Amino acid sequence: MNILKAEDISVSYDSSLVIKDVSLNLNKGEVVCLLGASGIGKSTLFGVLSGVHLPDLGRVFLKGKEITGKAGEISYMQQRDLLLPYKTIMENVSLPLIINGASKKDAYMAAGAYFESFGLTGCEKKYPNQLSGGMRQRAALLRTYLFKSDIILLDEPFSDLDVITKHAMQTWFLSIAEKLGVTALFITHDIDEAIFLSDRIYVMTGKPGKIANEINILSQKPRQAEFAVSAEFNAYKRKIMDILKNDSFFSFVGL
Amino acid sequence: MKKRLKSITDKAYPAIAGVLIIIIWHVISAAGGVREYLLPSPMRVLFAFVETLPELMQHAGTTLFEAFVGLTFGIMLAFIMAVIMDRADFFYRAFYPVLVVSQTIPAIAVAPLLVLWLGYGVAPKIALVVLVCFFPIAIGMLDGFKSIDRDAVVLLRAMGATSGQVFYHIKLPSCLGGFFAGLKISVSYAVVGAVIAEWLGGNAGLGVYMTRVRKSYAYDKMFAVIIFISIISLLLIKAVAILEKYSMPWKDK
Ligand SMILES: Nc1ncnc2c1ncn2[C@@H]1O[C@H](COP(=O)(O)OP(=O)(O)OP(=O)(O)O)[C@@H](O)[C@H]1O
Ligand SMILES: [Mg+2]
Repeated sequence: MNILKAEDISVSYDSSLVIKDVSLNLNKGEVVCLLGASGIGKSTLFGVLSGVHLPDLGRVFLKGKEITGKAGEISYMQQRDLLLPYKTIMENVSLPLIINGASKKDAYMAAGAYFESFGLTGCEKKYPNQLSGGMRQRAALLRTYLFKSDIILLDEPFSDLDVITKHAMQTWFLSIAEKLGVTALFITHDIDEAIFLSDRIYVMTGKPGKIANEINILSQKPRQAEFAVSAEFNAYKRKIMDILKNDSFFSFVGL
Repeated sequence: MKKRLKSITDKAYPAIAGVLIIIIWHVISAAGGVREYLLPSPMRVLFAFVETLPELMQHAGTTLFEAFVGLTFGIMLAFIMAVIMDRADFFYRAFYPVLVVSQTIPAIAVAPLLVLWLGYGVAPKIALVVLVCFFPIAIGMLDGFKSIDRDAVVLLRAMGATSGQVFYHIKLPSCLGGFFAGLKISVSYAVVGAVIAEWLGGNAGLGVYMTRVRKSYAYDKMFAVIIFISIISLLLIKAVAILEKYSMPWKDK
């Protein structure tokens, strides 16, 4: 079932076009990736999908209902974890529930139920600066999930982590996404991460940014670490690299 | 361990400097270079301090009352000004420079005017305290408001937060640091402001007491009041520091 749909989105900043005619859709239970070079307009597109940025053209639909320019409908985890430094992890994570009008007690109860699955047990009363990068990221993910659980947008959720933590987080993310049945659209410029996590990949190229290609990753889930070194994985990787190689966005390199 | 050692030396140096100043002071007055009644020896000041302590405490009550009432109004005024200037860019541009310039007007110069307008009761004292202490707090809070994380605001807006909720969850906690930085300055301003206003008349308060001992040439008592006033200011600054630590538990963790 198609739950999120974006139609011909175009956005410009100061009269220069950043993304042009971008369309995409998300089916229930899918993990989909938006892959593209830095500065191509991925975060901009997320701003539009989440309703905090009004596009010049195009429309966004959530379960058939138009939500263009309407904030508060879709969960959105931004590029930085944005945990509020002056709130404890519990206060941070339950913030979306409180903003939605829940009482403190109810919000803490609802949020507390997920602390174990998100590997945050014992962190309730800690402040963000007392947590490791991976823990902060999981806390930010939990906050995102608690806001709206049916669909979440993740802007480079693992990009600031070291390689080892990143890998552990990816594996954990796949299992929790499966367990909770989340539908997620995430941004990355890491090709390996895109292939490892996704059911489907949208590759963005060009200037202005457009969706150049859509690739289905057919490999079975749950995926094991071995998948990342399989021939199948490398075949996908080659395909994506070929698409990116022809990207006019990089014309300055002279490729 | 190292940290603890450092905090000991941090406190030791100023203590040594303080003792040194008192020794020099003692030597000068013992050598008889300055007339005894103009610069009383540290010992005489200490005796005067102990002797007049009950009187000082009594007058301190009045002065502290004025300082606290003034400070309370000052905080409220600062809060309102900071919120308005943060919300309306026009007000910020129009009034921020005016406020900064207004701070070059010395409090002592305004005090006689306030007495003229408000009489000899507590009103002019409180008014002066409000005038001297609202500015550092307003500036501190405004800086806090201006330093908020824009992305965090976008995040809350994406969660469907109202502007009131954005204020409560982001702006208010972000301005606490600036608020306390301003408050630390303002508490000592408040005491000094009240004392200065009392110089010009009234029937109780440390400033009133100061003018009395000055007129009777009791300079040892004069020194005792001055020291008493700085002790009060120091204690208040310490109290604010404790309050700050308590209100912002996420710091230094
Ligand atoms: N508020 C803004 N005003 C003007 N230009 C902007 C603004 N935000 C982004 N841009 C420009 O739009 C383009 C796309 O930015 P965007 O942040 O969407 O890229 P991105 O694909 O998310 O990059 P990255 O992977 O580095 O996060 C960039 O060239 C950027 O300079
Ligand atoms: Mg981005």
